Amino acid sequence: MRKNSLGNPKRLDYWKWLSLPVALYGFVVIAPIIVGLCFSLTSWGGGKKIRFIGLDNYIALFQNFDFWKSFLNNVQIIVICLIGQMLGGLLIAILLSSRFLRLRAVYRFVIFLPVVLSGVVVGYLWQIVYNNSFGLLNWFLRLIGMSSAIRAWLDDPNVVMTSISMVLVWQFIGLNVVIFLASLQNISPDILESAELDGASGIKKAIYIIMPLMKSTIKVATLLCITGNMKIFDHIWLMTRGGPGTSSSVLAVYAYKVSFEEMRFGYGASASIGIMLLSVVLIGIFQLLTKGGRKNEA
Amino acid sequence: MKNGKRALAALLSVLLTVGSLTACSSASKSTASENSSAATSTGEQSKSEGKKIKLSFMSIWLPDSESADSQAKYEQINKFLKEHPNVELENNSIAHDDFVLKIKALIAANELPDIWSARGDMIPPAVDNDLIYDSDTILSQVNGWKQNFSDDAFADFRYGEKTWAIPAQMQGNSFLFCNTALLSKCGVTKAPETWDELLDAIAKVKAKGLIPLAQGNKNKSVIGDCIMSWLTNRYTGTDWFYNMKERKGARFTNPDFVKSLTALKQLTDAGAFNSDANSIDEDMGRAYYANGKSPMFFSGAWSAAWIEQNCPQEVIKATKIMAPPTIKDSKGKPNAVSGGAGWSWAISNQLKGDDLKAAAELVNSITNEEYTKVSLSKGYSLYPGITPSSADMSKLGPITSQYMNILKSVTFCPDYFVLMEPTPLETFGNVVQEITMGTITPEAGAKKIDDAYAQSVLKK
Repeated sequence: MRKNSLGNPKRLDYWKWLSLPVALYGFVVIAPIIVGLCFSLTSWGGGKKIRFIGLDNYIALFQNFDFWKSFLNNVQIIVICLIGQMLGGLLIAILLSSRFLRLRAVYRFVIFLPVVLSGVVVGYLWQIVYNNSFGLLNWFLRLIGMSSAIRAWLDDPNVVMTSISMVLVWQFIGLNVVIFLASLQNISPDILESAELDGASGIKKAIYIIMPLMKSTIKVATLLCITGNMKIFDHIWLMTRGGPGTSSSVLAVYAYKVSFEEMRFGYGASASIGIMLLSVVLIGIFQLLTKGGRKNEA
Repeated sequence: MKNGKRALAALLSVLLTVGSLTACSSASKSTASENSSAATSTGEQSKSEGKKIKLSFMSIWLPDSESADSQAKYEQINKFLKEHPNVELENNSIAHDDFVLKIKALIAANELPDIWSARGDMIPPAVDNDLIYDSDTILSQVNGWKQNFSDDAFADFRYGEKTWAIPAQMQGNSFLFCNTALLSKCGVTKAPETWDELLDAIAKVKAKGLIPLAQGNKNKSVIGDCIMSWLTNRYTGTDWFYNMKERKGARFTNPDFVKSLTALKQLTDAGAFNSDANSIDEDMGRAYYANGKSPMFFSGAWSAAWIEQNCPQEVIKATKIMAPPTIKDSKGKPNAVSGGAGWSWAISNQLKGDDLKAAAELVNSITNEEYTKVSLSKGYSLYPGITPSSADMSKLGPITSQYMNILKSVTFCPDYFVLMEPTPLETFGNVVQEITMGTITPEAGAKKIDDAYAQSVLKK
């Protein structure tokens, strides 16, 4: 009997053993999405009165300038983080895996430390760093004689998104370094050795040997970067609350404000579903792009 | 047979897991509803058997706070509970920002406490969902209670034909705090009383390298409320505001409203604000004033006590509170400051009989004349009732005394951040920030607020 169910499972066994995780997944993931979807079709503002309004919320959402502006801000963060976290992370990981580097553990610890900090702590710290009058950044610029570059980093609508994105790059670059380091350590020394024997060294070895071998890891890290930055909230809420105006508003901040500050829970639910759909679209585009690459390789 | 047993066991385990998980959510619901129903049922019991009355209570005033207002309230509450041993209070008070968020969720979920502190903008959703008593029903529970309040104390809680809560405080929200000594050093011989004098003072202070008006507007209400509520009222008058609020045709594209945004742009163009005004909170903004880096800021009554507690003696001595400047040919009253009660005490309409009476008496203890005297004895001046002629004002600090004096010469006008519907208010706050950053014109800003108003209020 035991052999039947574990060694040679029948169709019913699959159902039996999958039922618990599927039920759990349905309860914590699928059910809230369905409930959110139902609320998104109403004009619910809290309380007993719930009125079905069909797709009106989605039409209003689609026409709302602030929603799309928030989405573009998310995209801007993703682009900056992809460049900063991925390239920076890869570079640091390659440097850390170098044979000639000493105190490797210390560097790894220092670079990874911000990853474990809460977004609230990081947001508060960087609010001080960016402060116009006593902030560390402006003080440093003054010190090195670059007073012309001094500005209110979180007040200027032209730079506020870059300022916030740099904080995210700073905090999460360590995560990518650790992921890339693990991947680098999995590359067989034989391959690297034979590449060296063939004359590939330094940058050439990194571009032609290491990078292709790390392709799937880079893909996973990119996906994590996109999904993580689509739901970014706490840093921005702490530093700017989406301001000045709506300059630094992102989708999660927008959904939070319409739901809990404006008490438009129905519309807020449609904004949340909108975030989910846009995330799926972005990930889909990324998958398509990377699939194309694989075909070319073949 | 064994297979069947295993399938049954697996099915039961799934049901048990899902059941226990769903029980978690329904458990919290039932606990909350039990609380509210407990209050009602114990009330019925207390009528017949004189048993305990249990009231749930939630406010922005914390029992362990060292602030004079919290201390005054809890001194009265504790006294009430001592005198009414049959009343048990379940206090779930939390800090202001958390409270605002939580109470909105509780209104939405229909799980409000029996007594709760309600801001003006929280009244409409609570009334629409039939959750609270009107003021007259509450006031009728205690003889002579109504006479303790002035008529305008209830203005912030009017919705439809009725008022819906008991004022918890009364305060002016827009005064100009001036460091006269620092202004003199900048060549400004008297604190500004008119708009032109304010602009002149701004130019002179700016020329000295100081910040003319130190504001911390990260949450949008410091400039949006402490400046824009009175500034808009100067141009539009009070009737326009209520016509807009009650959907009687007033719109934000009105030229007078646009003029008020243009006046804000004038302040911005004159370099009145600190360049980090929109990324720092009010405390950090006022710190410029305390440190002598700025001679002026706009704020409400709460800043009087703040100056007494946080500024050096020379700043306290030099501080003069001014009513906001007058503006030529204004439609609104020249001495109007935004303000009123703002916060109130609302009572759940689930309470009946003895429970309702006990809740009303408890609220009475923190709004009546005795509460006024206790507040004054602690140096707190934002009590909701009329100041009794016999009141002892000797415990008030120098700035609070100034505030009490200036209050006699001003009238209240509507406070946007208390009375306006949340969606156009959010856009209003955004537009104010954008104007202070120079990224939107007053006309475009007015159109943006009007669009939000039309979309969310007029279409309701």
